Amino acid sequence: MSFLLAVLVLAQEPPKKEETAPPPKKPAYAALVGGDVHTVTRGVHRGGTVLLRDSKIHRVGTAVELPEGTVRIDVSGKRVLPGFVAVSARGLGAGTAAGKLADSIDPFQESIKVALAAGITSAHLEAGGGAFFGPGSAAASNAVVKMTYGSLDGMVILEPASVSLASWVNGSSSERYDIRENFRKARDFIEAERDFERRRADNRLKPNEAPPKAPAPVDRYVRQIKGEVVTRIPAAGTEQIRKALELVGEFRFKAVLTGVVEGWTLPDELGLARAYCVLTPRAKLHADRSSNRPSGSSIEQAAILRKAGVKFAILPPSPTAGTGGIAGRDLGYLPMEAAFAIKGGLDPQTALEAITITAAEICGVDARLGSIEEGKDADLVVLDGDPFDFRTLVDLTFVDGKLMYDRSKAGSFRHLKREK
Amino acid sequence: MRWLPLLGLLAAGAAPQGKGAGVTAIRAGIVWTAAGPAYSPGVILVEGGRIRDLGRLEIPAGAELLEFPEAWVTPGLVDLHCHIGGMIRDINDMVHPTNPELSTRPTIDPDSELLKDAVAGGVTTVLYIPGSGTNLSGFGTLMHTAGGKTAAELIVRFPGAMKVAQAWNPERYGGDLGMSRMGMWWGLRKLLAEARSYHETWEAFESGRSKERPRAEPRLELMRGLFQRKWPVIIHTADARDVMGTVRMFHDEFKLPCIISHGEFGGFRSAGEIARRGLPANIGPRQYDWTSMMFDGKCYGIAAEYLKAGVERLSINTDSPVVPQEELIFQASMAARLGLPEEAALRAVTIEPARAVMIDDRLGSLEKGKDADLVIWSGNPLDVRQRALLTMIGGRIVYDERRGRRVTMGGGW
Amino acid sequence: MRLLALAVLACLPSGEEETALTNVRIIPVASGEIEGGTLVVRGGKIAAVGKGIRPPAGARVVDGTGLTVFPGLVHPASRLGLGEAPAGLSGVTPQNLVYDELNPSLEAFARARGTGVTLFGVQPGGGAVAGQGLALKPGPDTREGLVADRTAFLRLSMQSSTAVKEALRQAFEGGRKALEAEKKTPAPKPDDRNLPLVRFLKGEIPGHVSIAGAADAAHFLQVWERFEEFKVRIVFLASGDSYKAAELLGARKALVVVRPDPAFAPFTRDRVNPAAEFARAGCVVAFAPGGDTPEALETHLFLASQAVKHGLGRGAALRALTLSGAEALGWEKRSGSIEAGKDADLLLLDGDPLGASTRVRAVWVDGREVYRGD
Repeated sequence: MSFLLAVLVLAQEPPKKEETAPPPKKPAYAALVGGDVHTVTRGVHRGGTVLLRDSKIHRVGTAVELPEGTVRIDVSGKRVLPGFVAVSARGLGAGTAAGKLADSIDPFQESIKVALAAGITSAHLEAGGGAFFGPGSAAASNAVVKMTYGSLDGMVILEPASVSLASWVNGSSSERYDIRENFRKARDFIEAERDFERRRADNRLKPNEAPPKAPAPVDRYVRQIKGEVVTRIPAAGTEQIRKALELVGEFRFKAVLTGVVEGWTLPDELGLARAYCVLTPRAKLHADRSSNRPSGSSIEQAAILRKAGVKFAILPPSPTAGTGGIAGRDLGYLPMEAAFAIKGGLDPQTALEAITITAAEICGVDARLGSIEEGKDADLVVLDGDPFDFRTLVDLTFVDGKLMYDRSKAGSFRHLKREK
Repeated sequence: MRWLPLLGLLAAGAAPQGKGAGVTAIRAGIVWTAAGPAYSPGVILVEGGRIRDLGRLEIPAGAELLEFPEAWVTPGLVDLHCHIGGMIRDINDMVHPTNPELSTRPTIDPDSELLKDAVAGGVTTVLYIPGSGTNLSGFGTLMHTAGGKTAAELIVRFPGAMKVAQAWNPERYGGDLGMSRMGMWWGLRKLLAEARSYHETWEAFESGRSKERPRAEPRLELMRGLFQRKWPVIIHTADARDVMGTVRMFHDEFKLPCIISHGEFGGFRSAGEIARRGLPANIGPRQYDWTSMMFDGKCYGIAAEYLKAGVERLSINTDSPVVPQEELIFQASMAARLGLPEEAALRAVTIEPARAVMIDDRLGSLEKGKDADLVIWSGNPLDVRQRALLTMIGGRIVYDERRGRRVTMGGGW
Repeated sequence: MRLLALAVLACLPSGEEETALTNVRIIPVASGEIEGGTLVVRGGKIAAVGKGIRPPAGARVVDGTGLTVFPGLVHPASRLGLGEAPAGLSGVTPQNLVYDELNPSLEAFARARGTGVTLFGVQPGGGAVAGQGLALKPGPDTREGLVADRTAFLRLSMQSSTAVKEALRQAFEGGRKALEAEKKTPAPKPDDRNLPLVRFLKGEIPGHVSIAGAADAAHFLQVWERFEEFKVRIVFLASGDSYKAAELLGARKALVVVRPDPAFAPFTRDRVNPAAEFARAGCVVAFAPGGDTPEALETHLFLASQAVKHGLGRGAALRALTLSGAEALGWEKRSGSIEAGKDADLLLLDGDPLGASTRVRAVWVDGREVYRGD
């Protein structure tokens, strides 16, 4: 258990004699054994083992020695995958109060359980108003959030996770001018910073010279250029994508184009710009019959972008984990959206990356999440089949090494039997 | 022995020359007919817009061969709850609570992009119905999604069915009787009684039992077909109460062929009653009930529950555009995921809707003599990773991936 | 039996003499139930309680056959005589006293006498740190007579938001600094604003935190993490889905005040008994009625019996009505149970406190009868 509070006696008693420092906690080991371990980044271990130590993945392989006291979880006949990453999400505990999402998030909200039952272990959660804010401003609030139902510990792991530059594409020309100006200033600042460091290394600083500081909002742009925070630009159509790439090309920051629909019309430009994309394979836009240039949406977009080396994550049409009755269109069915990309010609490996490691990269948390590798967080999902098979259900979901969902015990899907 | 090959040639020449002319032969890995066991592999012979024969057959010489060794072939998909045959703003005229004189026929747009999307998803026939804005919104048209330049060329049968909405949506509109269930039920009963009387009066005259020619009332004319059991009434329902009310009035009392549509929100608690009467249910767009009606924490697959209760005449819909029309097969996939056996799921989008709307003499299964409405899929159609490769309506290819893949799929909300 | 009981009541004292109530069933709460016991009251306090006690010489002896004596109920989260507390503020006003808002001439106080509640904890309304609440006993009709402790506890109102969490942190930080400053010589006197926080951090007065749901509990504990070195008494006034945080609160054996009403588990119609959930997880549970109207207060015992019906232990329920509530106000040594030395705050009932048809025959506060039932 990663969440532990020392038990306190809350009474009006005089404090006890000071105790010596508590002994270091012994690590807790657990292992998922016997399943096919799909690491996403390091191949598949058939009949392999994932050894967890406290909240982390400790060892992965086929001949892993289990320390004494390891809790063995038999997953023979099943697949072990990294927990799925929702690259955009609403609900999932997000509160409505102004301020930081980390201060208003509700870890007891039931939609978190819906997400866990679907195998989602983390999400780029967005709360508050629409995406359109002033140039360079953060979205109302967003954060990368883990589905740690019942506990705030380790729940919000990155806030803010991204900055939205919606106005670059949708805003007025003066807003675009401001964005460009701020980027230029940020670039100049970074140069000034480097110059300061060079002179400091050579002991050529002026007396009492302090390191340069960037005023707001330029400081945000500096972080964007440095890649410390991800920039998201909504860009659906060809022209919008071009506009976005123009900016990316000029200032070279880590950019994610969201809601991309006509990306398939300019895959090589996207590939060259090394911009990430977020796609919804089922997003529909009919071709413009009045124009002779290629237009509209295409079920083949993911496959086309893949061939051009573009990295993308996949998102279903509705970024919520709902209980309303329409099946297959929201986060409860995230792998199904990737299956639609496979329908359009995408290879299964890339489809899997699009809901795990690439999604984690887009969220800026790939050092911890998105694949089964030693040292990463123990966010895992155990499936009873291929994730892109419409019949496959989630059997177990782990977050930080804790079992958060067990289909055989939770009431929701226990009754579903598989005809195999 | 040099004349043996000549003999062979002669033999070939002597073989019935026209056997394969004008015939399209489809050979596929699996031919799923919805009428008995599948053929694996199988051949379908299409001639004159119909299925001439199918099974483990030889390809007749001269036939145009479509060879898809890995593919599945199924009947063209049928959706009984479609609102995208025309413009969405045309599906409700909300002044009077009952509108038996209205129909979707004049609103059909044969060039609709949404119909093109549908055919790329393997949907060949839809019951294009008016909306649920009023208690009785009019008559729907049974039509193909492609294969014709004009609306008339697309029509399979008009009327397809009469559309009634029993719950929830009609309650939005006040002004006239029908805002509450009391008003709705009364309005319908009154109209049905009137139509029955009209029909009986005309029948008496037509059969000679009565000499007096009754007055013609265009408003009620199409409703005669219900009493003649030529076409059914399709009823949008919500919870169990509506399902039961529907069953009592339309089937028990007025003895009309009917289809219970939607049936979500716990409607499956009345499924036993539907089963006892052998009525068809048309489930969708919602495929699960988790928190709206059952309140026991279980996520129920609605179609599966109806089947468990004994409703075998089970079909699935999209209620397009709520779910995009081309995702009808995906709706079947989701129903199967949530507990409906796969065989039943495929039947639910082929033969069962065709039977329910009383067009199964022509459509819904691959059988000798039926229309050549079929889809060639890259694999098991329920597998989301597979896709429609080719769609055929009346023997004509109306969608073919090899000639440029249809680029749109999806939308809805 | 009825006639005898009435006769007994006619003899009950007005507080000054020594009285021994004999042959009476006693539920002390802090110890086992006593059949046919004796209770001696002197000078407003309980002098002796037990079986086989000889009534002191000179004491008025009253036969209480047919009656049950139970501690007076405690309502720790009351707004008696005040309107609905304003919500949603993040202000920090520890110096505010709800005492200043009290209007004892209101009907509410007179009617409170017959409800069986003998100790009210009255809550200030306001923001993140709303002010100081008071402890009140019904009976007299002057402010001084009613109010037993003007500054009984500190009231905090939690909200899961940056603004409120920051306000709380700063308030606690201010209190800590003031506490540390006290240790210096010469020690500056803490100002009005910091004094209540200092008293809270020292453990002199409890801190009441209202939580509208489990999220609030989690966020409050996150704020409190930095101040764990202080051994304080925190009382959680819990509503909404707070029971989902039962484990979190039970791990620190927290004192939780909750309504006895059931809730529903999400997605289902299964009843959840929040009190039982908290108790199972290791919390100390106190009940508060759903309001301060006579109706709410008069149905309180019934709702408590329903909580027992749905899974709360009888002992826990009886304690939740009385001693745990007293503990929430820092009054567990003075009231809340029938033990020698404690205030004679008692209910005389004609049946079991959790019995559906039981009636309150008399209410004593500080040994004086303030209400007699008909």
